[in-house]
Amino acid sequence: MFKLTFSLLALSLTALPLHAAPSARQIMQQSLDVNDGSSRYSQARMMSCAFVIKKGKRKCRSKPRLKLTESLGKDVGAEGKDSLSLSLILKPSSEKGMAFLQKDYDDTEKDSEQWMYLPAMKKLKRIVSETDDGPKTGTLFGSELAYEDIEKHHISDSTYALLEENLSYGKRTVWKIKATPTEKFAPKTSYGHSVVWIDQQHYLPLKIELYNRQGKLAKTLLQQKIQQIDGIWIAKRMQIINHSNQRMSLMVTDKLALNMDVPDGLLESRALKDSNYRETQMKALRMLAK
Amino acid sequence: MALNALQFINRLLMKTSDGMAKIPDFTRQHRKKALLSLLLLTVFFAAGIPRIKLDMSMEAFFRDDDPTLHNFNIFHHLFGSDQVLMLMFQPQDGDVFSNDSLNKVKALEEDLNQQRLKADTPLNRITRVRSIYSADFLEASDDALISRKFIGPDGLPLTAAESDALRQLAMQQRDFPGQLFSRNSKLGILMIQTDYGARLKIANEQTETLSAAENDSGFEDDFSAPDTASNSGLALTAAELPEFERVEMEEYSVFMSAFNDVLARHHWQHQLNNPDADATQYLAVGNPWIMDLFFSVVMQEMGLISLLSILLIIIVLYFVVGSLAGTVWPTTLIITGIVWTLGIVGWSGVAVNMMINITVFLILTVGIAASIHILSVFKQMSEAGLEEHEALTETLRKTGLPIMLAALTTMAGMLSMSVIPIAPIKAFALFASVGVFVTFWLTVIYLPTLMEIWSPIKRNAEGKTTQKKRDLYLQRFLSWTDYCGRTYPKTIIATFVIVSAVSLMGLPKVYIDTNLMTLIKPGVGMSEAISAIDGNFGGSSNAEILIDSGRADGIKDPQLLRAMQSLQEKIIAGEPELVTRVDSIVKLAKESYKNLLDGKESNYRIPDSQEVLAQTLFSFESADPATRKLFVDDEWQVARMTIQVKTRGSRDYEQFNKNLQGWIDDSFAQIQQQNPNFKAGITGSIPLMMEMMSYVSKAQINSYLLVIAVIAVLLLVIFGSLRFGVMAMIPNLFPILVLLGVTGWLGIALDTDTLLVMPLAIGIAVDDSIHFLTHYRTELLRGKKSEEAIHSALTHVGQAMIYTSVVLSLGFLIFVFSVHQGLTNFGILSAIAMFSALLADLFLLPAMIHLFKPFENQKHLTTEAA
Repeated sequence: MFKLTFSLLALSLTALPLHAAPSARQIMQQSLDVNDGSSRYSQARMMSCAFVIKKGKRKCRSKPRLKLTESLGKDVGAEGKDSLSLSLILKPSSEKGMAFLQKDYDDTEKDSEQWMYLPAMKKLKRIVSETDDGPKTGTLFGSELAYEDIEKHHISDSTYALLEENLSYGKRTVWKIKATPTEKFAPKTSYGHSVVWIDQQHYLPLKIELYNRQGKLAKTLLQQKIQQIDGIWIAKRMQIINHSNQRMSLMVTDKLALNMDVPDGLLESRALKDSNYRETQMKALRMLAK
Repeated sequence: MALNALQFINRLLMKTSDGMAKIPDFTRQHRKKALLSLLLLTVFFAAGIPRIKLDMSMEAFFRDDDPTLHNFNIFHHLFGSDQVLMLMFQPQDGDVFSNDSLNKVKALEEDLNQQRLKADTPLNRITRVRSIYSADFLEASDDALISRKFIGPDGLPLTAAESDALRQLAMQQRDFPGQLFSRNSKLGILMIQTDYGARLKIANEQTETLSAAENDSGFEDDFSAPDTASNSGLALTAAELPEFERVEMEEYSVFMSAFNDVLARHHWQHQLNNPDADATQYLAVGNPWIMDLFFSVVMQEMGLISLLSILLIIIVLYFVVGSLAGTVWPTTLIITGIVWTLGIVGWSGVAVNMMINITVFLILTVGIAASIHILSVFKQMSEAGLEEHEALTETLRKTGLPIMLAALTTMAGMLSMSVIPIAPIKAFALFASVGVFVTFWLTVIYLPTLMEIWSPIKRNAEGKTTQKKRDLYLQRFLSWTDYCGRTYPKTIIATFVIVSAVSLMGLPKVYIDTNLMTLIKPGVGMSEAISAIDGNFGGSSNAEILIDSGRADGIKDPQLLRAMQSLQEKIIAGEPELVTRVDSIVKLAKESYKNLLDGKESNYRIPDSQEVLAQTLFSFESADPATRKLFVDDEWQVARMTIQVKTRGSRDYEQFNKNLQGWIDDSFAQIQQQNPNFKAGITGSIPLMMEMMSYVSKAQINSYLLVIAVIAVLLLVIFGSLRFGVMAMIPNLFPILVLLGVTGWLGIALDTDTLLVMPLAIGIAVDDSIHFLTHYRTELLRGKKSEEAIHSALTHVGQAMIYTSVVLSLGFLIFVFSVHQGLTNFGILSAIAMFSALLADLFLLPAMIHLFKPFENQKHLTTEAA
């Protein structure tokens, strides 16, 4: 249930060398394997609002809801393919101090492990979801970004077709690929298919269109402000447009640090509860972030 | 002045009569042209019929600014669809918790879940399937929250003991017994949620221009706070709401047909379809099912019955007219009238609804009446020894004017209904009057021509006709009515006064009500399903309350949740018969809080601190946003309260709505004071439908008052005297009084269907009295005494009046066989209306003239005018 933050960034990071005339599946595989560093720290603002379209631009209809969050992630396991991530809410004040910890496994048979801490009740809870019959239904901090959208994707979940090979997208050249879920995976996703614009230089998806089962455009994900930090390509701005309810969210990464040492204790459930310990450790990491 | 006006009208009427008399000669001279133009015009109008736009939606009945409808649109925008298909099933072994039963539910659910993922099936309207098998279940301990399926694929009981244990555990769950299975665990429920009414109409152009703009790397959407914040929550205006896809009625049928295929595959059979012994039996309710019933059963049946009714009318027409030509020609012209009118509807491009059927029956009524009058007088003229073309000329001279006046008054009546600001009624009123005019025109112009081609009168070798025995009896009866009117006018009037008084006494018992439970007769599964689900599961309908805190995150407020809780308590305590459960975020907040603490029942409450509540709700939302979305909008500004209610009539719901509004005002009074932006409103498809029905019925009643007034004024003008007008109006009010009396005393509720009788009743009643009075007056003008004029009118016009009433009432009585109670009532009441109109015209009108002698003065005037 609490599939959180950093799988999102897993979608967005870094470059691999280019091969000649790769297949759609190969391109996707490389995009999934993009190097996003072995650990990351970030501070992000998440804004969400209902939009109206004015002069070819989407505009918030009212003041967007703002969440300020802090996240910490680290690759673990034998091959570094499992991951641990910690997320903290800084704002709004009524939710300040709420903390989430998640452990994801590369092995599809293994369920994620999740913990949640509620400071107002001083309660630490392990969250277990055994209802595994449909798409992950949660959304990230109440935004338009569903857990399903940022979940760790496996290449075998879909079949791929290369729609366009040398498409210009803004100033970039991209591949346009259509991904259709396999029959086995279909019940686990709410989408009928998706179309992905993948940058030919750094393999980051620049745009993803998610279509519902009736073939109508349900959501558009845009990755913007792509920068190279410590040799790793990363999008610092991500926009999610939900066409089916006319709301949109924007996630802006304000501070970021990659490949730093993260003490193991910080990614354990007791770090959720022990704010003194956590704050001391986080302080050092915050200093590194730019 | 009055004298001049009267003289003017009289001259005009005389001229019209003479003009009408010229029609047969004129059409005889131009027969080929006339027939060719009839053919061409018919082809032209027939081509318009496929262009008819049907708008069957409930929304069409509302004004755009109707608050209940507007709230409903906001509801769809914030919470999605409220259309659920509810299947109550009875396992073959009588135990919902047996391994066999649960396996059958599992198989069906898995199939439906597979189907709904497919792109090319109507079943992808399904958003969620829920039953005791797939219900979620949350286990809370001090350090963990475990959500799992209550049963699920791994939890099926294998032995009877395991089934019992499962039943025990299920009985202890707050929301399972009485919602997912009956308390005796013999019946289960399958809830199939759909997205009907909530699919957004996505403006493709806009999406495309924006996608193009994204290619420009400078493109960024604007996330800054708007300079002027637009409305939110219940304050959203219609222009600020997105547009939803419209659902055509037949889509429900396509959906249900696919759904029924799945059921059949799993050997689930409808309880009323003689299910096999080993089948899982079910009954269904919910909007998709009801819409399908209306579309595929009621509407098809209505088509069949209408056809039968028309057929019967033709047969009876043949019997009373006694000639094939006299049946074929009117029928041809009536069908032509229907084609022309429908063609005009099609070419006009105006959307119409099922009320257009009534137009067809109105055309039938007007056409039959006009034709019978023409045929009847033509026969009398022929019997009097006139040559065929002379007979035609004289027939038109006598009948042309009253037919025109009858058509004019009916048209005016229909047109006056168009002041009602309800689009489908407006369209009906307009096209009904067009239909009446077209039919009048066709009958008067073409019936004489066609009668000359193939005459309805058989002449013997000497060119004479013979009178039939039946006509002799009728003439004897009419002479008797004349005798009665002359001899016992007081007794007759007294009788009518008594009947009217008794009818009037029934008036307070008349009520407006539409009830899904009684709308369709038992036997097709509607009332059966509703009473079974109401009885075992506490309600088959629901009403919704929208609670708008006026600001983002405003719902996360303990004070507001406590007020909501108190409202829920008031509803359940105030309507114990009607309401069994109320669901809202309150329940979820209490449940989540309890589970976050320790899972103990003593902590099932709203947390006191705002911070604790906010974190509780946040954790709930992260865990289950799908359920959160059912109860609170994305901004946490508007909450929804769903009240499960038993199915009742619109009258009960109206009272319930009033009570509800009172409790809402009570419960939120304090919050309202502190927060001027706070709003709460009632909505939901059932309240909306009920409001629509009662709104339309009331508008219909008001419009009929207007129709009566307009017709009265018109009669006044036509006959040029107040007395004449009043005299003409009284027999027309009688059938309406009788109708109201019958519905009052017999307890028949007035609903939109029943009320459709009124225009027909008024139309036919006015026709009869106009024919009578015009004939009477013409005789007066010719210098006859009042008594003689009455006798002449009765014997000449009476026969046609009786024939018309017999033909039409028998035709309408066919509707008694409909499964639709409203149509049945329509049939019975039409027949009653026609017969009481006939009685009033045959007995009351002559008696009144005899007694009050209202036209003595006028006789003087009219003679002068002549």
